[in-house]
Amino acid sequence: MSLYTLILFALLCAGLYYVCPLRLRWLLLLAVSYAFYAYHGLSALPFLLLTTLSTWAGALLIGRIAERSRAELKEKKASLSAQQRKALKAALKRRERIVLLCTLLLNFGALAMVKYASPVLALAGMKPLNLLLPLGISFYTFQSTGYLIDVYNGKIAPQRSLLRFALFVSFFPQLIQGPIGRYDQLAPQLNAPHRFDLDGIERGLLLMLWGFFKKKVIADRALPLVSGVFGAPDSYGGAMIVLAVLGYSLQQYADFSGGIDLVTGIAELFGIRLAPNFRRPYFAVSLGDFWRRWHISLGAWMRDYVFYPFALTRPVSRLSKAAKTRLGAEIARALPAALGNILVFLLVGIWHGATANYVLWGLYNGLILAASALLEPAYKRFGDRHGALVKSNAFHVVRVLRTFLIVNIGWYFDRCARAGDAFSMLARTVTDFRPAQVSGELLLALGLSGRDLFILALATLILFAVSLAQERGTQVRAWLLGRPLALRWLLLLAFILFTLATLVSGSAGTGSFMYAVF
Amino acid sequence: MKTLFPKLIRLALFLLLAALLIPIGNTFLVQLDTFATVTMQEIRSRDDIELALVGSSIVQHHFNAPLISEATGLTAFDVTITNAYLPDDLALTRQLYETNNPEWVVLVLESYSFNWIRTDPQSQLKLMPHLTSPLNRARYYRDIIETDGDRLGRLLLFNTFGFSSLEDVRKAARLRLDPDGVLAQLIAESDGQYAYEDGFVRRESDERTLDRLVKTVIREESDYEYKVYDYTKEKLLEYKALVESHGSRLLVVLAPGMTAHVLAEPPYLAYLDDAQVFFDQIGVPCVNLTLARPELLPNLDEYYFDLYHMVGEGADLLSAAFARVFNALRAGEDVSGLFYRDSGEYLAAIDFITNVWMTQEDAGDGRVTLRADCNRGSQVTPEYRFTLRGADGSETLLRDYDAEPAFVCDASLLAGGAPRVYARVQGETDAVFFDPGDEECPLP
Repeated sequence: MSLYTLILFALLCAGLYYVCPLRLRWLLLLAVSYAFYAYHGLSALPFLLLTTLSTWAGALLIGRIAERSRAELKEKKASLSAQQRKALKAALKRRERIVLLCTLLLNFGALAMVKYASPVLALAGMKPLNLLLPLGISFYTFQSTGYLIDVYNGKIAPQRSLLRFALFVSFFPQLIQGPIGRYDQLAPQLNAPHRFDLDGIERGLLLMLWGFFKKKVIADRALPLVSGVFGAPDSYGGAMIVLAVLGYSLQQYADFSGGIDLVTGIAELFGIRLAPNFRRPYFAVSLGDFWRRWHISLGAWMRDYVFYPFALTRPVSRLSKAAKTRLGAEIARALPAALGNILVFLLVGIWHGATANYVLWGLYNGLILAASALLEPAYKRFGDRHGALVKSNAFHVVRVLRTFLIVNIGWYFDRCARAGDAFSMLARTVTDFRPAQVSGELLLALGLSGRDLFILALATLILFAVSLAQERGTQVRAWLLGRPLALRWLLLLAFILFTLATLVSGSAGTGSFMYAVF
Repeated sequence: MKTLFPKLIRLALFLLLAALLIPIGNTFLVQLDTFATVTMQEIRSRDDIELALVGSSIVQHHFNAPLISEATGLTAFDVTITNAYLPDDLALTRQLYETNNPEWVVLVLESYSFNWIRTDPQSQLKLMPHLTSPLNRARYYRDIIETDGDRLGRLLLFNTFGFSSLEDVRKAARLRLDPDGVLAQLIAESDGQYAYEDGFVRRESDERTLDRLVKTVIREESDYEYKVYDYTKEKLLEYKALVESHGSRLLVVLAPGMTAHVLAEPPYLAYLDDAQVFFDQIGVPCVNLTLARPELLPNLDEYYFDLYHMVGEGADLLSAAFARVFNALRAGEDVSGLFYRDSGEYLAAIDFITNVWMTQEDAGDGRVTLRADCNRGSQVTPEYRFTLRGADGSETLLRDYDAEPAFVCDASLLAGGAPRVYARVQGETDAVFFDPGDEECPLP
């Protein structure tokens, strides 16, 4: 489904939603979500159904076991000793864990099969399966397994209605590239009968427009430069490579966050607020800060369901204790976090793709974060000693630039098709800079005319200005909607005109979202 | 509810304004073509056009409107933009009827535009900003997206063809604010190279097409599909209905092609015949100028400055020929004597060779076959001569004139030189030659 069809589809669905009787609105959302999914290929539907049914049933089973456990414990409370009660509790929890693990295995097994079977077979010299990756499979798998773990942990009660749960898994704006929603935040909104709220719809439309601008004016315009240089990694010197990496930084951010803005805006048409997924990541002052601002919903999922469970495991605790005697208390305290970060980013890297470049990209981020965690006490001491410097604006800017540099080095591995290309391009960035290669002619040959560069620069400036205002606490949409009508309309019409005049249309490779392939 | 309705109305009004940005952008934020702007401005400002010659650049360069006015006694005007296809012709004519009601509409069709289910985005760029009726714009848009399905690209014309430099802005502003001044300047600055009057652009150029003729067009068939499509028929019927609904009379002229080009495209004449049959079926008079006898129109290749367009000298001859036929048709006279009966008779009348070329086949046993072919009239018997051109420009005869098109020799014979072939009509002395090593490939 093209971007334009998606927008038209969303507007049509929103229209239908508000003419539908209040109590049936959630059902309409479910129907249009499945229609949306079916439109992308019926062959992907079994995966969605498998995830929906298995996690729904798994959660119900866990809930029933927990209920029975509570009843059994209550019943036998008087007749058992504390130790016996503890043993019984553990035995009952084990049953829940078996259900949880089986369901997780089934879902992540399906995800792994469609994502990794072909590359693994190819690596083993066998014929790849050529399975098509079902749309959004990563996102709905993460979302529904998150729900399952929350039920297991007793944070939420299982949803008894299969259809209501199916809506939570399949809500169509999220299917493309997230954000990964949490059941306790999203499900009540999906099931609630939202009344027509024009102010909310206007806010949604504004966000859709902003996302559309980021995607079609910025991301798609930067695409030819990035594809051209990364597509022929041996042909360019360091200067062009740096330009392409910066272009990739811009393209990826505008594409992903633009897409998220668009779907968040679409959700707002139905009165539903999705979890935020970006918070101006390029203003981050450290790599950890960056990952708390970039793909927030995935980061939070990893934090809650991988990082903490791992860091709090007995082996890690034991390792930490052992380290305390040999390496000191500070390192021992930081060790679980360091190991957790390495594991999380290794998994995130593998999630991006089963190739060496993604694994290296994950390790690169994980190791830097691990080192940061271990060096945290030293940073703190430095801060205590040089308080004025650390609090200065200049130091802040240096930290932002340093983080940007670290992130961009990581993008070499993220964007290159092969790890060897990434190393080779990195080497040429510092050993074979060839600044003379950067010319208007070459950029034109790559598909970027002088007009394109001007538009890209202007659009990036607009993006930067809005991001800066947001970073300083301005609620841009609220600010805009608070302006006098004439000024508001003038600004909006000028922005729409600029977007229409500069959007990239019809070029190969544009239109689809980068993260839709994960 | 009290506040909802005003808010809804406000939102609807805003969305309407936002939608209006598209026609505004397509009108005021696009690069403007000087000739298209001037011509469209003239059409808008006049109401005296009696004979409208509608079509693409073929009309602009072939039909000398002032000369036709003089010869027919009707005020003629070239209602034209370059690259126009049938949907463009329809929109152009609807625009014409906004201010004029001509007695005659002459739709001039060239094979390369009217049989294709397409429109050139360039023609949309030239035409769309000058269409004054929103309904005409909407119909035009409907027609053009039917040809290529590019809904968005066609809708957002200013996205593709927006200003790309300050010069564009300056030029567009001047054309918008002072089209009459531009026209006056255009006329005043007319020189030996070009002149503009009543939509007719007279071109004189030394760079006539003969070189390109030899080099490109006619050695291989083009990929044009010569077929009158149902879509084309549908649009032509729509055109007929449009003209008749305004009480005008419609005449279709099939523009003449260069003889060399016609010969190089074997299906071309049959296709023109099909078109003629279609127009006969729908009751629209149609004149095929390709079949004009030399006494009506001496259609020489040197009258063209490129493959399709005539220089002023050719245009004057063509315009005079058209006026003669037009006057005769108006008077109800029989004009059949001015044309060849059919394409067979036309081909038989061509007694010269327009081009020659050669292929080289290596048999693998050290022998090479040079095989010559040429474009010619159907009654012409060609004979070929093969030579070897040395690096110093000297020429060695390999084989003298003979009707046999193949020449076999040892590969070693050709070493260090470029084979060249000459062709002539049997028994004549003038020859056409082809030298694959000579980039220029001039005709002798």
